[in-house]
Amino acid sequence: MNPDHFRRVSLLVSIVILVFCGCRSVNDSESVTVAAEMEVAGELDEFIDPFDEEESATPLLKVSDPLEKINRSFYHFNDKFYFWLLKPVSIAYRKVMPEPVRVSFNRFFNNLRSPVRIVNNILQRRFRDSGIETARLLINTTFGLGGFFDPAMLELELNPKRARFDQTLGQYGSGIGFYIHWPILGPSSLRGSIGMAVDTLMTPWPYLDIPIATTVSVRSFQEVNLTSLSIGSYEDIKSAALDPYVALRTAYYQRRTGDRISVDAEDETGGEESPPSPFFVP
Amino acid sequence: MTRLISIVVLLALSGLAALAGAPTAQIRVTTDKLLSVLKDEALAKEEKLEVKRDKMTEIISDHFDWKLISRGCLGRHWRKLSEKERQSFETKFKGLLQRTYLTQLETYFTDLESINYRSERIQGNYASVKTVFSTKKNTKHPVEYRLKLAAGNRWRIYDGLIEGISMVKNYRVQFDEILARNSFVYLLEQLEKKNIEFNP
Repeated sequence: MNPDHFRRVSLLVSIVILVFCGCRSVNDSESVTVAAEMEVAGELDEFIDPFDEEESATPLLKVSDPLEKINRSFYHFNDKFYFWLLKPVSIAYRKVMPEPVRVSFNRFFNNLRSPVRIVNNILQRRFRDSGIETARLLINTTFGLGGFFDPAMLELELNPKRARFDQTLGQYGSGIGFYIHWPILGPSSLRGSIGMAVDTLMTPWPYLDIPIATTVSVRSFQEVNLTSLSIGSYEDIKSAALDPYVALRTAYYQRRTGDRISVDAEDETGGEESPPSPFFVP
Repeated sequence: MTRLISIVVLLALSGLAALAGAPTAQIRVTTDKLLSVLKDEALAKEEKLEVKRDKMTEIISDHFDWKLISRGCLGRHWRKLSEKERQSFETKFKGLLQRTYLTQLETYFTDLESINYRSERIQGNYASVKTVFSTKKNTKHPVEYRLKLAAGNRWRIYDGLIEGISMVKNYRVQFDEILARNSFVYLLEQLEKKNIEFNP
């Protein structure tokens, strides 16, 4: 390498470094001043999140709750029901059943709900998703041994997507309606309750020729199994909230609007009856 | 010459990468730090719980924009408060959030299988980082972080969304309902009560 060449190289390198340092520091000081200006100007105002979608920008404060008195008493009933009955039973059950078995039972019950997702996907004109659900049903019922395993997701990456009649009604323009806190079933709304009833008609349960007592025990087992996978979630919500009733109600409405957003964004990964997620993770 | 070009290109790329991925990189670094504390065998014992929590508190305290969180959660009431009132709210609320956050990290990170960093969007001084948490129970939860650029080129979290549920907006509704029926002093008392519940 001759000296001239070397000089040129070092010159170029130093220019590059200078340019980068320049960019960096300009960027730094600029962003900091802008941030500082915004701080001063906006300090007095209500904070508006720039990433808010139109849907969530509609004030959540206006949740209609004409039944609040009854709802609150059902909430208190459910709270006691959880701590006095559901939780101790679920903890005992968790002790005797290994986790993989409980996860498998949860998959089995999810598989039985496949028709709900297949039909609602069609009604929502999500034909691709409907196809995926049909494939999942066929694969998991056969190779997944009746739905206890999920080779469709683990081997073929066919992920389940949430599709309920409640969502379908929303897609056709129906509002969520007022809040209903059902005993045992928990947070819902007018539209959500109609949705739940219609979805139940798409599961095998109403058409099985079995005594009502059997259905009730199976459904109770399903509930205990699901709860055993998520013990602690409700406790966390309760300890984080200043008014757990309002926290749950708000979360319900937030999630309903979120449903629509995530379907559009196609990054929805939650299955159907997955255990409730933590309310406040990082 | 080729070498020179490749050096320039490399320099340029690394510079761009550092600029484009800053919010995600920061979330990733902090999360990894927290995970390493949680997985630390030496701190796993019951009597080390306080040491562990102190360590985690230290990691997260500069990771959040507590002032912006407080402002977001108080919504339209923020405007009416004096600087002193805001300050005492922020201190109490920060206590509650940190404690909640730590207990929940302990619960949920033990279940965690992997975190998938999906996308990042930057709008001026604000950024959104979307991730998906996969658990050992075979479930996936979309988690979104909202961050704001602070002095020193640090991104700080001002909201977290789990499956579309914004923590800040949930609190905003709660606080609004409480303040519709009670005074600000009452709200501070309630926060204090919560903190005592956690920290007897």
